[in-house]
Amino acid sequence: PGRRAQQPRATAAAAAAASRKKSRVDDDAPFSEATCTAWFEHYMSIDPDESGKMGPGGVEQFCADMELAADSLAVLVIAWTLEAASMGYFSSSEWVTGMKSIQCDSNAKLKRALPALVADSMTPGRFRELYKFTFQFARSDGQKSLQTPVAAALLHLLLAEQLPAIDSFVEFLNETPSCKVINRDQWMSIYDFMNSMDPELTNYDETAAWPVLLDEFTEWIKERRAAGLPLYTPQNGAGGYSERMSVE
Amino acid sequence: MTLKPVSINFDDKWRELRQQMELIVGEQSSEVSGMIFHEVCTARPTPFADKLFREVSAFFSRHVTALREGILEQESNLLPGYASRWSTFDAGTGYLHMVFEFYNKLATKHTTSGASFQPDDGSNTPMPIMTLAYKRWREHCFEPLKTRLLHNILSEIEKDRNGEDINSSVILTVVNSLVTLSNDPKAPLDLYKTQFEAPFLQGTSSYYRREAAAYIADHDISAYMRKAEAWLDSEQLRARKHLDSSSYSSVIKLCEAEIVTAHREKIQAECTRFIDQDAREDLTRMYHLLRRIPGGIDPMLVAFEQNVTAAGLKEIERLSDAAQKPEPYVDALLVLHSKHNDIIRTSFDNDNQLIAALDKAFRSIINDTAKSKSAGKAPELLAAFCDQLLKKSNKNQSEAEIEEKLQQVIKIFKYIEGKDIFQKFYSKFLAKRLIHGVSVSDEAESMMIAELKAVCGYDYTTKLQRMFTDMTVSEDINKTFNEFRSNNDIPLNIEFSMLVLQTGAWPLGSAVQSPFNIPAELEKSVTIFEAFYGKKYSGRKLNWLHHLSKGDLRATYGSKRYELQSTNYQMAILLQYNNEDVYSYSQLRQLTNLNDADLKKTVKSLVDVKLLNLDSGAEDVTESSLLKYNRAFSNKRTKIKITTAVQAETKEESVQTHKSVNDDRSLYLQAAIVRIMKSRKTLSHNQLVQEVIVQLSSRFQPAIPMIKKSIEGLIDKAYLERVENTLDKYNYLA
Repeated sequence: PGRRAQQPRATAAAAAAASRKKSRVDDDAPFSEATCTAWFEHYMSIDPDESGKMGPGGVEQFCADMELAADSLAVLVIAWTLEAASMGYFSSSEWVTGMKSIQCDSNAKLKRALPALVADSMTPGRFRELYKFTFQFARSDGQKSLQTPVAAALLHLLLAEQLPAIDSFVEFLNETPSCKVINRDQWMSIYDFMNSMDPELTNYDETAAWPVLLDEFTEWIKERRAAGLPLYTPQNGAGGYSERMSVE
Repeated sequence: MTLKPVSINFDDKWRELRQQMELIVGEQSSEVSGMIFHEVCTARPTPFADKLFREVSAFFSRHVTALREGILEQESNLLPGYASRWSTFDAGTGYLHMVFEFYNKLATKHTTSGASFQPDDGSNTPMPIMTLAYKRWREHCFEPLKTRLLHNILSEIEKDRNGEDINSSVILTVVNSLVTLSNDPKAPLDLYKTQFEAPFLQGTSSYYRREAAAYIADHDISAYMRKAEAWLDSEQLRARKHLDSSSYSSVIKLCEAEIVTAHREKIQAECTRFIDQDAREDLTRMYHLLRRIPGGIDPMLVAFEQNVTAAGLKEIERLSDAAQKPEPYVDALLVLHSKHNDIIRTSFDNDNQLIAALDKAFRSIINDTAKSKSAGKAPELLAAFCDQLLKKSNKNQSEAEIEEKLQQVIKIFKYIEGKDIFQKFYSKFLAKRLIHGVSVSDEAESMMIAELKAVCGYDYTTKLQRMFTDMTVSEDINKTFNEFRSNNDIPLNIEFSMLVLQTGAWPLGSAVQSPFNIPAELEKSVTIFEAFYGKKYSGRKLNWLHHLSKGDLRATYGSKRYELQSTNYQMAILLQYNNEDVYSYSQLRQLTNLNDADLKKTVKSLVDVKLLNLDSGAEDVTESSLLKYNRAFSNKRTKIKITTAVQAETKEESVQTHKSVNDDRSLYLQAAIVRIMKSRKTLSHNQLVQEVIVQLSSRFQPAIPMIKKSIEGLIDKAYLERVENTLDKYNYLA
């Protein structure tokens, strides 16, 4: 708080917006790059990294102020809109360019824009882009692939609502410790596979080009079915954006 | 004689002519002059052509009717009567036709020019003698008799089928009359086909339908097949005796349908049993019968393949543990192969389809990975078998015998899917043979390599070939080295020769080598050689493989001199005893620098051969052993080879080799995929997989998941990408 007092005026305005006062005047004002920059710097100052990016602490606070869970689909959509390079960080240019593209310079404006933004990202063509983005966004620095647990959580987050069968795939990943990472090709193939298969996998073709991981998944499903186990266990709640937004 | 028209009396002339015609068609041959026709047809004032046509036509009607009546007078003898009269008539007509050439021409002209002659009915149109005669025969003789004729022919043929004697030539004559009478050029053989062939074929069908069903009900398949063969043979002969050649194949087809096709399943069902019992005659017969019908031998192919596979797996089962040894295993396979090859040759006319079935069976036996004791070991066992053949031994096989055996080995080799595994083991064995100089002959070795090259291509044997080259090159190097020494007067005090082996070609790198202090006696030769070699081939690095080297030592015990053939390790230890009589184990370790595994093994071999003695009471070599020089050493022989226990090592080596094969496979796979994609740029998944399998088939059979993993690996490394918006296409990324 001591540091916040030393921020310039623009920052103070953004801070005011961020502190849930919901000023009507602010909301209706046209987009201002200065306001936007101040908005960024407010969160950046909470946990700045050495290159001037907003660090995880800032992002967390931002999510809290936005009343969003850090691991929600909405946050992913925001990161995608900002074309963020890596999870937990936003650079100033990412923030300002991205927010400008949706004409938002405050939490309140973003909150109002968000439902449309999320809805747009759910249209088929756009969603595949979001899905593709998620892979490289979620990778740790210098890694080519996603750690399997991270991938599993993201698959659930992204797909559980539209492709409930993804949860059986997540379960398969949990039960397959030999699969340590998911590479980019596997990641994209999972989406295409889930989209092209019927729920019973009757149209699975073992001679097709699916990565071996997916062949193993089909085997696993077959075994489960033979053993009389349920195909997938629906997880609690849809884990999505709508539920959390309704809190507001 | 004149060709000018003259005045004639038609009745006189015709009477004269008719008498002659009667003589001719009655086969009392006579001379007749065509001049009469000329006279009649050109007579003045009126030519008598029309009249003549009518009279000739009437003549044939009368004549044939008379013949028919003659036939019917002896109805019990219908066929011979018909046949003999037909023959006479046919011959006479033929003659008349030739003689009456002028008449024929006139008749044809009359018809085509539509001249004055008005036929009383269509049948009286003037026509050449032959046509007219046959027409009349058809009308007045054949038609009225045809039902009776056909009935008689069919019953004669049935008699023949039942083994009674019949007069075949009569039947053939009657049947041929139908062929001759069908002289309509627009529908050749029409009379023969409709009036005779159709009912005959029908009769044949029902005859064999009845007979075959009855016979198969009362007999086993073996007897039935004998009968079937006899039926088909005799029907073939019968057709030739009685029918026009156009009918031969139709008859046989019908017989095959009734005799073979109708009962094919019963016949095919016996195949397995006949193979089991090695009933060659039955198999031959079955093959020849079933081959007649489309798809007939297919079940035999399946049965044969299954039978061979089962026999092979059973044999391996029977061998039990012996199936893991090269000789019993390969011998069993060779016996099995030649037995079934023999069946194919003797019973199945070397049919390619059966050879393919045998190949398939052998591939499943040899590459079986599930059931048998030797599962997955075939490449290794076969390579070891070759090694036994190519290694000097006391078995005393002649060169020719060895080469013949190797030829047979190639037969088995062709079936092996893991040809790369074979190659690895083969090159290991070859390396040992060459290094230890125990190869039976260069000729046999090169022959085998040539055979392998013929099957798998040049690449497959490059390394093997290079190993041979190294041997020759080494010989030269030794020679120049010795010359170099004598020219520069460098004595070594020992005999010294070495092999320079290229690292890439020789499978020697995998085993971890112990550190080793070269015995002082050898140091000089090593240093000088290194200097010599380094000068000659700069940039090459020599790496001494002491664990593969050996040396002969001369030792004197009392008055007896021995020659000890030892490994370098053994030699290094023995040479120490020129200085002291007793060394502790740890002293030896320090002196030789050998690791414990090798040192223990080496010391133990020297103790076993009694060159060294353990402390009294000590059982085994341990790290606290004291090892004494045995002054009292003696042996019956003067040349002694100090053997080392190597057994345990080979198992580990084999695991090593298998592992290195697997590493190689993934390299070959990736290389093949890149090569294919580089030339094709874009390819569907299935095409790529197919091409990879084809490219690698001379080395190994890659499993599909393995191929897919490699593709995924290459996608990950950005050599390939999936084509956007497709699920099964790849792009090559340059």
